[in-house]
Amino acid sequence: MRNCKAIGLALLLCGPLGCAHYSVNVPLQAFDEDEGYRFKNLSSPGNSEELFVVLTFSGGGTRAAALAYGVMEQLRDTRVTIGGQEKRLLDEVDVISSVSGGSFTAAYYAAFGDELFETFEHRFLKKNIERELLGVAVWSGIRLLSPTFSRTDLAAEYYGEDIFDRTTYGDLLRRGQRPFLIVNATDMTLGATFEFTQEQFDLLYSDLGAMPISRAVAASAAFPLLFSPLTLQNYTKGFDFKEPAWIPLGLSDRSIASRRYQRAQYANSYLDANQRPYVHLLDGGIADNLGTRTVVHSLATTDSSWSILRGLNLEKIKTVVVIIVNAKTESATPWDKREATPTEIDALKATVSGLQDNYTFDSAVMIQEHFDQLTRDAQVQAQCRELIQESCPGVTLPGGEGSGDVRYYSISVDFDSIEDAGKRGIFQKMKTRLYLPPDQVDALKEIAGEILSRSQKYQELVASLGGSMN
Amino acid sequence: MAVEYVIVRFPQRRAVFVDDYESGVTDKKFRVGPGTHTINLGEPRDYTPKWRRPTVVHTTPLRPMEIVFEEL
Repeated sequence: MRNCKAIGLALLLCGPLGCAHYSVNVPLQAFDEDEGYRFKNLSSPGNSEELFVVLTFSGGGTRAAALAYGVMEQLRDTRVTIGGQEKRLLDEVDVISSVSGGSFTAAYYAAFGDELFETFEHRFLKKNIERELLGVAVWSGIRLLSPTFSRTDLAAEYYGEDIFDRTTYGDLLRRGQRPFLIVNATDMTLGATFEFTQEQFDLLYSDLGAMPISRAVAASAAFPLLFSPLTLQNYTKGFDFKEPAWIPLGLSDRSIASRRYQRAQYANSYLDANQRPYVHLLDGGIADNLGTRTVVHSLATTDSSWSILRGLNLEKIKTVVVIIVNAKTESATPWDKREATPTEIDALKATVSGLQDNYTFDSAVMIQEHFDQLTRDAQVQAQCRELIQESCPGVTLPGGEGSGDVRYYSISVDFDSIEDAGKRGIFQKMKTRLYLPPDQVDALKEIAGEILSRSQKYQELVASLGGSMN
Repeated sequence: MAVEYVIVRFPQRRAVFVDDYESGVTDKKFRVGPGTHTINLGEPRDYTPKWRRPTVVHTTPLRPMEIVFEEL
């Protein structure tokens, strides 16, 4: 009788607990480097090849999502002429790389296109997501007792049902249109960026197509302490798996190309599923709070699956635009105003936000410096050509004229760009939360458009494309 | 964020593949990231060697690394 009671109790408890398991990423049926959610599998009708536009949306909760949304509105309202055709600059966006709060806007646009401008405000921006998540947690609290179901899994379910209509990466692929969405999380073990793309999932021998985009967004926004890590399974590679060529080559480059070596090391760590059967992901902002690392990789190497450098080499791309939307605020802390030692939680917060700020500065500067270098290289070639023509007419430089007529624009949309100190202060003090009062959301949308349209580089870009702004 | 400059010499115009990605054309300078790369040409496979694997570092736009393939 006692045994029966114990079994009954176990069943009662284990029923709901046992059922609570995160949605597992599925293994590939067969490896095919031409299939799946990859940049090359998205067509670009109406999106010209010569203009390559990348947007990066930073973390920062609803503040970041609203700032990104305001930029999308401005791009929608900017008309340009390309190949004799007038169009919206928004329709020229090729890639959106996003982190944390910015991932909500990026993923919503990738899933629903222009519906973003009709429904996103009431479905996300002006909704109290924190209260909604709390409500879900209360109702589903018992599921959170399971060791295989976390607060982030619960959030992913809520986002999937209430915001993203259960859209999967397979649905994005069927939609088949740019922009290519790169949602960035952080691999908790490596401290490195983990991108939700089929190239990254190839390394896990997993099919991204079946995964709801809400899980990617939830991982990307899994801020430590508030949310738990999101878990993925790493599968044993099938006999058909083909390791990307750059990985073993990069592993041999330790002394000559340290960035490539490190990237190869990270990629290589997923290849032995026995060593790493699981991958745990945290907020993308820990590794890169701007989402610019993948852009740097694409600009500076031919290793990236969507390498801009390759597009430049093949003379397909004539203008490169990177718009960095950065919702970073001032770190106003009370710690230095009192003698008392900050708490352990304060120290942890400082560590996480310190990491984010450092990488943020680093990545943004790298892109501008890279553009400067490419421009300088082209100028050196042009000047050399002129000198040769003066002294030895008819002689040409080896390897052709080079692609000197390429134009590069790195444009930042951030609160530091607000000239008025009082106004800047208002935005700098906005909280990082998943709920902001509607008037703050409206102010963020408006200021994003204002910063972008007043940016000198943006004005130059629009003028060069024979465009106008509403 | 350095980029390196390469030029692949071959008597005919061909696509140039770097680590399995089409990244340039023969006799025209192109850029790669610093490091070791496997370089081969597009179809038809009437060239030798089948591939080259140079370590590309310290090049400039005026002094690209030259990689030579010959007709079979």
